[in-house]
Amino acid sequence: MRRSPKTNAGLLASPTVVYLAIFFFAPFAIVLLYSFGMIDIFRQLRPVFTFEYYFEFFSSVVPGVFARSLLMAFATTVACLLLGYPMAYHIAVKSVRRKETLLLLVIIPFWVSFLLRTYALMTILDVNGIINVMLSNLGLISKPLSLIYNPQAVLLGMVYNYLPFMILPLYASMEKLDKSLLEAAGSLGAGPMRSFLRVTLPLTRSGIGAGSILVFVPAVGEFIIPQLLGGTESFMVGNLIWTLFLKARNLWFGSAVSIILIALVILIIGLYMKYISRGEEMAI
Amino acid sequence: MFEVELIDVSKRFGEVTAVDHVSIGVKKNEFYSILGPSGCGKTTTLRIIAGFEESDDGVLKLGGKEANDVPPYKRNVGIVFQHLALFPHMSVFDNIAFGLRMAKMPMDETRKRVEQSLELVDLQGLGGRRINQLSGGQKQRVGIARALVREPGVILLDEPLGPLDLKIRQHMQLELKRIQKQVGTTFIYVTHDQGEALTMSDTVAVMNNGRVEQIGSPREIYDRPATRFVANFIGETNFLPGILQTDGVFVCKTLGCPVLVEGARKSVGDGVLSIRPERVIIGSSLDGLDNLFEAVIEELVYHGSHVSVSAKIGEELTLKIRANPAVPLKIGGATRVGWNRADATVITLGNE
Repeated sequence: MRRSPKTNAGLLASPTVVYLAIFFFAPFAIVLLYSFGMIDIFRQLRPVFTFEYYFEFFSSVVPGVFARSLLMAFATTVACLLLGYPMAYHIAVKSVRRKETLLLLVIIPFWVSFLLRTYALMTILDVNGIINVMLSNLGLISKPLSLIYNPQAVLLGMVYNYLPFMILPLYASMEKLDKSLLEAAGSLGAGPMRSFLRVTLPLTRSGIGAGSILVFVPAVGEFIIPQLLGGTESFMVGNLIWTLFLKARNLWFGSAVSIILIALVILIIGLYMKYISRGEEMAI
Repeated sequence: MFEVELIDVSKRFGEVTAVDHVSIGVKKNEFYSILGPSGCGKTTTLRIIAGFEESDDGVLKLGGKEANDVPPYKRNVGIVFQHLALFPHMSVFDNIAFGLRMAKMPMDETRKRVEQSLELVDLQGLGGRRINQLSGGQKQRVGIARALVREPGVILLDEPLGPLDLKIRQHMQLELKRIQKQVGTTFIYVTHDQGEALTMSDTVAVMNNGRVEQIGSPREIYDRPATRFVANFIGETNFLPGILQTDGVFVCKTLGCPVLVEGARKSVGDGVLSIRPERVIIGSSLDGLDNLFEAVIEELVYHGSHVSVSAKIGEELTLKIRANPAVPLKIGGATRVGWNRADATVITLGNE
């Protein structure tokens, strides 16, 4: 029997579907069951359905932690966008010959483990780190600057780690940009600034959207960077969930917090995509 | 005074000289074509006028004023791009209005001018369309309207009809000519299509290898090519090598006999005689022609409107001839061919 192309495509995707069913949907379902109190401490299903763990959320310090995480993720995204956009523009539009080299330089940090790179940042920012030692040797400071264990250090670490995720999609959208559009804008009396605002920016919205999501989503749930570089006031929602699951063993509240985080992120991304695609629609 | 003038302009890209000491002058309201094969430097020349490329040497004057260092957005030059470069994220209206908005024109005036230019290019009522909803020919018209609406002193067109089908292309050629007449603006038109250049232009500059080979009216370019390249690139021709002895007598090497030619400005010496296939007359009633030869027909190809004939004269010379299908001819048959001296041109090698 001959199969239609559609069935063949379905067959090709089936290993992925099985994989996701086992390692994504099943754990997610378990988290969901925990959040409604449907599993007991012996990991058995119990005939309970409660919102108490969700109510607990509002009567705790958790909303503050959420706000802090969202703010940090937002700051990271904006900083990555401001740093990444000119970089991507330079690689895609300005430099023809060194394109490959520059792209490679953007990707090289990935060759070293994320954890190692964050530890490396610690040795630079530490009280006895490279910067403090150098400055005090030069006699510019008498006591070490506190560069680490504060929100600024967390932001620095986040931007450093997530910047490539912003540059690559931005680069991809700029690469597609027809350079003669900029010449056309110029010939119609638009100076460099207005060409950028009226042509380049609207036509790279898809890259801005993709890059922002790739940075924002992992940044909201980030827990290693605040753990290593942050102080007590850098306690993020990722750290909270980690603590609830592995330290406090409160799987029910931890699951509820996780679900709320996921819902919130989906909501934010949904709104953002809607905003981005408003201009994008015209560009396709 | 010229509207656009290039004086001894050169442009090099590394080892390659794309534009080599080019001097052209385009008069106001002229339809001026730059014609040449791909890679001849015609597009680079256009981009220098637009300000997208900086020339290495020479002077560019726009409206009589030196403009070498004026940025593109201050040049008041409209451009119709080869690949159109319409803004995909804007409607037809917004594309055309772009230049007016950049000039901070009031909204009423902008609307009026856009409507007028839509009418000019025959796209009334399509202002609200998106660019991807248009056909190739319609996009072309939007590109033209967008360049025209600012009423720039000069419009540059970079092979704008290249991507269109033959029929639409021929139609657009006439349209362009009409639009140019109607708005009365200087057009500089770059093309590799000799037919396009001949039908539309007031003046044609033929370029090859970065140099201008000849500048003249379409008729001059076709009838009196100054170089072998021009004679060969524009239309078909026969080259007869020989020596121009004195004015009016050309001794052809392959014929071994003198040929009468127009006694014009030409210098004496080695050269070639160029005679167009359609200017050679074939048949029996050839009395009164300046040059007459006995020939044998080697090949006949029927094209409907005409017949392509290869006729051998003497031992060495084969002439391409474009004959009327009504003339009775057969392969191997003997016939006579000839032409008037005014129909041939001698290109002496010193001239190239």
